[in-house]
Amino acid sequence: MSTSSVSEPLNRRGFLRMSAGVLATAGAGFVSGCALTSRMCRVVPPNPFVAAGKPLLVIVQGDDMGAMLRAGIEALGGLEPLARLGREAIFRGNYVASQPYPVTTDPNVVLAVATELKRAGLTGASLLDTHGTRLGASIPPEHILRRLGVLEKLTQGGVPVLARDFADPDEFVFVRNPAWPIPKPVAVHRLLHEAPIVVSLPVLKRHRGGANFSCCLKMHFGSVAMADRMLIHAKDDSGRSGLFQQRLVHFADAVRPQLNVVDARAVLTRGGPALGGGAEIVRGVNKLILSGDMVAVDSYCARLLAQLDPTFGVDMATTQLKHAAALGLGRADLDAVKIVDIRA
Amino acid sequence: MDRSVRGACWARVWNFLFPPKVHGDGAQPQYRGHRLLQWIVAGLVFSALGWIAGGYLGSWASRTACAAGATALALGWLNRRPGAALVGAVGVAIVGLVAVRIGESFFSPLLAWPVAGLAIGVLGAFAYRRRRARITIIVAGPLLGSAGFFAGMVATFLIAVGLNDSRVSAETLLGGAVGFGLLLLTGTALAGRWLDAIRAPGGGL
Repeated sequence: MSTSSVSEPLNRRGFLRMSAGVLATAGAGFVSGCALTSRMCRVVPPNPFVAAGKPLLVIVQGDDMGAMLRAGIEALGGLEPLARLGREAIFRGNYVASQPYPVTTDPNVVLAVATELKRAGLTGASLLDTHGTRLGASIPPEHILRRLGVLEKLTQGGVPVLARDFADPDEFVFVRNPAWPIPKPVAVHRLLHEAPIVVSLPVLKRHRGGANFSCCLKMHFGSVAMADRMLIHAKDDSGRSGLFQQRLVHFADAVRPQLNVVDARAVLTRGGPALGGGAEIVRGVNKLILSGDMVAVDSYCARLLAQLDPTFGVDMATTQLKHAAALGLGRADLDAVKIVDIRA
Repeated sequence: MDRSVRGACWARVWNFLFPPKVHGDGAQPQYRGHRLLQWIVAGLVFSALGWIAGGYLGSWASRTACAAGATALALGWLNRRPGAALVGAVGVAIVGLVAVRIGESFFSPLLAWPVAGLAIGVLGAFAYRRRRARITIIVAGPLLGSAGFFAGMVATFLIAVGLNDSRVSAETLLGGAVGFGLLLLTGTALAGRWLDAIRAPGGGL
């Protein structure tokens, strides 16, 4: 029998050369691809809701949400400054779980704010949510909104719902800010990056784990790709290193909403971001907080939560607030903010 | 260690992984003369390019179908059967697409990967002469495809954590597709060499 071989065995040198070539090509392709796809963060004009050079923070106390919202908007000076930025707005709500308000944003608030925006001259507004993927038959992007009845209610109310896949890389753009201490970009949703107006509609709640509490800044965990969310949970889930709180600020920086309306008529305390694990709902807080400055809102809301929840202290939010202020997202010092406290 | 001894050791390892293959009469087959490395690189590159190309056509369904189809194309191309490669690629892509659609309403579209592995295994079986090799590749196809996809995803995510870079973790499924093509074609090449070839006397050295 012949002993002829079909192919010469590859020698070590040849193998190493070929491997080095493949790795170098792949590495170069990856690096150049990353450089091409990374953009600067969304550029937004200065906060239009200011008084005497200070950002306005409007706190409305009352029982009728619609009346509270109208009074709050009036105290802000109206929403006309937003209408000058574009014709359509995108809403971001908090829909992290299939549990109703105050775990998630009340659809009535979304509809009420949409009505006020139309009154100010905008032609329309849509709600964007990314809390699901088509990679799981039981967790499509709209599953939480559908279970809560939000999808049906908003669609009927004339606010289209854009439920997008949080795992689809084509849905996101990579943005960066040279001021971030972590130089890696963040994958923010393309629609938010390109939207002329973003209105944030968070709820105030305690958040176990790295964030400690959830309001305007933390809510933008839901504005970035699952890739970023998984990565930060893998790196610093407990929040001990401070990386979690820094990164959630970068997520908010990637969105920079022009208006924040916090619905604190009820507040989730002692646990979160959903019911269970000892979390309790405190009702009767009856506040709406409105501002163009999300850091000022979070600074105020951290104090409010500390009054309602004995397991939470303002110092637990200090890292994220200081970092956000340092990046120019707003004012953490409430003395530098014009607070308008009204009753409706 | 002496240079020649090291060379001999290296050749022995290489020949174990990828034994030289001859017919009973010593003739060289025209379409099976490729090295293991070619199979590895082809599996990696074709599945990756298929996944990326699928992204231009749509989302998960087109990506999966194109990656699986491209892997089948690579298999046919490495076996020097361009006609079969083309037909096989289209067939595997259609099977993958159907599996994604079924998976979207039942558990997960990720079910398409073992199904595509099975389809490629059936396609690859035609390239072998021996029944043991054919059965092995049909059985191993879905297992290798699934294991490769899972390992590729995990490896990509671990690299992303190491680099702290969401640009890498965003491509976790691309890593899975690459793992699918890589392990499937490597497994096919090895199975063919181990089970389909007539080994040269003396271990082929």
